[in-house]
Amino acid sequence: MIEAEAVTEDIWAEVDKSVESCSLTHCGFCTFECPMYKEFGFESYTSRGKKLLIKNLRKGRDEDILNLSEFSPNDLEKEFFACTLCGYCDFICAPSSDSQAAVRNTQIFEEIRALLVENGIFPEEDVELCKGIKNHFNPWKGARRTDKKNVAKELIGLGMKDAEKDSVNSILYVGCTTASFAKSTDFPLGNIVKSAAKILSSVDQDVGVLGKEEMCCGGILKRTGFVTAHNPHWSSFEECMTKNLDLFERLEIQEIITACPGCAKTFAEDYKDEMEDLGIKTVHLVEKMVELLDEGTISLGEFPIPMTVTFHDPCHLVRHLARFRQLEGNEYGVEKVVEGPRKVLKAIPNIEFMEVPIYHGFRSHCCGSGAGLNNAFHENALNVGKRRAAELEDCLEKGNHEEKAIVTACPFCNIMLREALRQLGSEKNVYDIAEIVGEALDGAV
Amino acid sequence: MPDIIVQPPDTEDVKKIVEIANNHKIPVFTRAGGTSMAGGSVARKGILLDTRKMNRILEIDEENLTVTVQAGIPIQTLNEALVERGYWVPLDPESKATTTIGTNIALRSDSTFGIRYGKVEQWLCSCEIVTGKGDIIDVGHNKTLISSSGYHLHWLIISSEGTLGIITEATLRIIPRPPMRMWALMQVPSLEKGVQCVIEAHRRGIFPESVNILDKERLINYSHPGSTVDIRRGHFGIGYSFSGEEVIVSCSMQKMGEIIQDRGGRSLAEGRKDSILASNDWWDHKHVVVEPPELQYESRNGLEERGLKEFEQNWPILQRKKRFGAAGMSLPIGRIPEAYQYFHKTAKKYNLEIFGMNVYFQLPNATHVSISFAVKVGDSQEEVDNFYKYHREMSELAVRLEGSMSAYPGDGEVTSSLNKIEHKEAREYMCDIKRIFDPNNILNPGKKFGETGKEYGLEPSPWIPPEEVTA
Repeated sequence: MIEAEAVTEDIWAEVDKSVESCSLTHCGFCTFECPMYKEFGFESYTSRGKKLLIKNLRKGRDEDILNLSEFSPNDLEKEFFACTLCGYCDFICAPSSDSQAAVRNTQIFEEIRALLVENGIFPEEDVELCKGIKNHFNPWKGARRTDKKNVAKELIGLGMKDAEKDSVNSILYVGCTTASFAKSTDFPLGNIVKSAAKILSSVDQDVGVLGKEEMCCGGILKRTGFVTAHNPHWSSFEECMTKNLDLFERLEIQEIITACPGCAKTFAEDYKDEMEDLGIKTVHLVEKMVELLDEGTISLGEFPIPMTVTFHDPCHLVRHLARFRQLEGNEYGVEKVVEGPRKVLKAIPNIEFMEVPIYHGFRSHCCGSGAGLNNAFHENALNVGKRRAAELEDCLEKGNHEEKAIVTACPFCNIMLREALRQLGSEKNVYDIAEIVGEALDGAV
Repeated sequence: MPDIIVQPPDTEDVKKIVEIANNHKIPVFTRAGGTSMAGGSVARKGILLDTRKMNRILEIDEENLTVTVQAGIPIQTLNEALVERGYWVPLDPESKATTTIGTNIALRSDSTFGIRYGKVEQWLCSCEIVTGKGDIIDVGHNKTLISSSGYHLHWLIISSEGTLGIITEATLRIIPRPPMRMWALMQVPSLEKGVQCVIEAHRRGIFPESVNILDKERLINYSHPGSTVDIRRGHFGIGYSFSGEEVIVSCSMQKMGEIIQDRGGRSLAEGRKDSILASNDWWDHKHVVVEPPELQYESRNGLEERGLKEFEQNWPILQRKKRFGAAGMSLPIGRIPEAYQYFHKTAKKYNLEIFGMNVYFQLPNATHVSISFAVKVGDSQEEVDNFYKYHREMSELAVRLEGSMSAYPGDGEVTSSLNKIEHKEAREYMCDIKRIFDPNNILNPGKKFGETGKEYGLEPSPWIPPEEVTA
C-alpha cells in the first residue's frame, strides 16, 4: 500500500508524473460531473483541462516555479480558483490511480494555487479571508472574536467543560462557520454544536470547548493558497497551524472532535505529522456518533415527527476525510464516514431515509461552497448549490411523509443548501445529522 | 488551436453556426468527450463546436422501447437515467463515462458487449443532423430499425466522423437490463482455438454477451499492480460473459467452459482462487471501474484481502511513461494469427515495445471482430515517427489480409490519407457524397479524406508520411 506521507517528499516530481499520466491516458472521466464544468462549460475548469494547463505552466521548470509569461493572470485566476476542490475528479480519476495515493488532483490544485498566490495571482475577495482570520480568528465577514466565546458559554451551560479551566482530554472544536452563524435565524448553525454537546454530555466523557482562544483551523487558507505569510496584515495557513498546535500542546489535548468536515480534514490531513507528534487524534462528529452507537453507549429512540430525509455527503467528509482514512489503511473510518450517517438515519424510528440515485457517497455532487468558491465566485457557487439542492429535492419527492428535509454533516453545506433551497422557492429544511441524533436521543428509553 | 469555441445548446443554434460558417467558408470541427484515438476531435483552426451542452434526454418511450436524446449526452449518463426504469442501451466502449451518443454514431465505436448487442447500427433508429449547408434533416426511420423505404441515410452517418453533418439528436432502441451477469477468463493454447470456441458455442446455441481474446501483454494491463497473470507460454486469454436469468446464465457458463476445455483450454490458475480474481480484475478494468454501483451487477471482491484498491489499476499506470498507440483494425477471423505474427515483427522492426493485442467480437452472434494491435509510444520524435510507420504498415496489412484498416477509431487524421488503399475507386464516390452534404467542405476538413483540407490552409497532420502528402 502506498503511504500517504510519500506526498511531501518530492511533490513536484509527483505532480509532473500525475500530469503526464493524465495527458497520456486522456480518459476525461473527470469532465462531465465536474461542478465547474457544469457551471462554465469549458474543459479548462476540469481536472483534465487544468492538468493540461499545468503541463504547460511547468514546461521546462524543474522545481516549484511556473512558466507564467504565456498566460493571462485573469484566466489563471478563474481557472484555478473557480473550483470547489470537491475531489470528484480524485474519486473518478483512472490515470492517477496509484498517484491518487501519492498526490491527488485536489492536492495538485492546492499547490498550484499556493504558487499563484506567491506570484500575486488570486481573487481579490480572498484577502478578506486572510484579514478576517488575522483580526478576529474567523474568515467570515461580520464575524467577531466574541462569537466563539458566546458559543462556548452556551455549551458549558449544556454540560461541557471549559478547556482552559478544567483539564480535559477531548475538545469539541466549534469551527468558524458554526460560531459565526450560531445566532443566525436564517442559518441556525448553533443547533449543530448544541446537539453535539447534548450527545457528548450524555456519555460519560469530559469534553471541553476552547472559547475565545479557538483559532481558525486554517483550512480555508490552505485551500485558497495562502499557505505562507505574504503580508503582515494577512493570516496564513502556517500561522493558524502554529497557533492551534501551541494551544493544543499547552492544554494537553488528545482528541479533537468537530462537527465541521473542513476542520476535520485540515487537522487530520494537513496537520498530519504535527498532530501525530503531539499524539492528537481528530474525529468528525459523525465518526464519533457512529462509534458511540456501535458500542451501545448511546441509543436512539423515535424522532418526534414522521419525516422523510435524504443525506447530502459533504465533500470534505467523504472524498477527503474518508479517502484519507482509506489511505491510512483505516477501512473502518470509511465505513463510519460513508455508511455511518445512513446507518444512523435508517435506525431512527419515524425517519424515512431516501438515497439520491447514483450521486451519493463517494459520487456525491458538491454543494458549491468549498475551497473559497463561495467567497470569490458566489454566483457560481450558488448555481452549483441549486443544482445539488434540486437533485436532493427530487429524491425527497418520492418519500411518504409530509415533512421532508435534507440532512448533512457540514455547516458549509448546510448554509449553501439552505440558500439554494430558498432561491428555488422550496420550504424544505436542512438539518445537521447531529440535530437529528440529538432529537432522537430524547426518544430513547 | 481553434479560433473560436462554441457550445450550442440545441439544433437551432447548431444550424445558425453552420450557416454562418458556410457563408464565410470557415471550417467547423465537432468535438464531444475528446476521447478520439485518431485525431478526429482536434481542431487546428476555425470553429470548434463542442456538443456537450446538448446533453438532454428528450423522451423515454417505454411503450415503444426507444429513447430520444440530444447527441452530446455521455453513454453512461444516459444509462444512469435508464437504470431507474430497468432499461439500458448496451453500447459499452471503455470510455463510456466520457464518450457521447453522437460520438458513438459518428465513429461507430466498439462495444465490449458487441457479440450480443452489436455496434450502434443495431440501436440507432434515426437521427437529426445539420448538414454543411445548414439544413436540418432527419435521417433514418423514426422509431423503427426496419425499413426498405428510401436510402438508409442514418447508416451513412454512422462512422461519418462529422464530415457529412453534425449529429444533434438521436433516437435509439432501449432494452430491459438483464437480471444478472456472470463472467470468466480462461486461457486457450492458440488464437485459432480461441476463435473455434466461439464458433462452437454458436453452433450449440450458446450466445455469449461478450467475448475477448487477448495476449498476455495486454492482459497484464487489466490487472492490478502486484497481481500475477498466470498464462502459459504461447497461450491466449479468452474472456466471456453471459447475462440473463440465472439458470440460463449458469448453464451457458458451464457449457462455454467445457467448450474451451475441449479445445485444450484451462482456467488461468488451474482452478485456484487466483483464477476468479484475475477474471474479476479483467472484468472490472474493462467494464465497471467508472460505473456507479447502480449500474454494476456484482460488487468487486477480493481486492481488500489482497491489499489492492479498486482504482489502482495497471492500465493507467503502464501509461505513465509511454502512451498507448494502436492500429485498430478489423480482419476476417482466419487471418488473425498471421496478423499477430506480423504485429510482433513490425513492432520489432520499428523498435516499439509491445502493449499487446485484444480481439473484440463486435457483431451479434457472429465472429466479426475488431482488433487492437497496440504498442507503447514515447514522446521522442523518432518514436512518434516510428509509430506512424508502424501504423501505416499495419493498415496496409489489414487491407492485404482482406480486412479494414480502421475498426473503431475512424480515419480521423491517422488513416485519412491511407484509406484510398482500402477504398480505391469507391473513395471518389465517397467524396461525391461528401460534396452533396457539405459542398464547401467546412465540416471536419482534413479528417477522413486527408488532403481535402488543404485548401483551408490546414497543415498536413504530422503523422502523414511526406510521400503520401505529395502524392
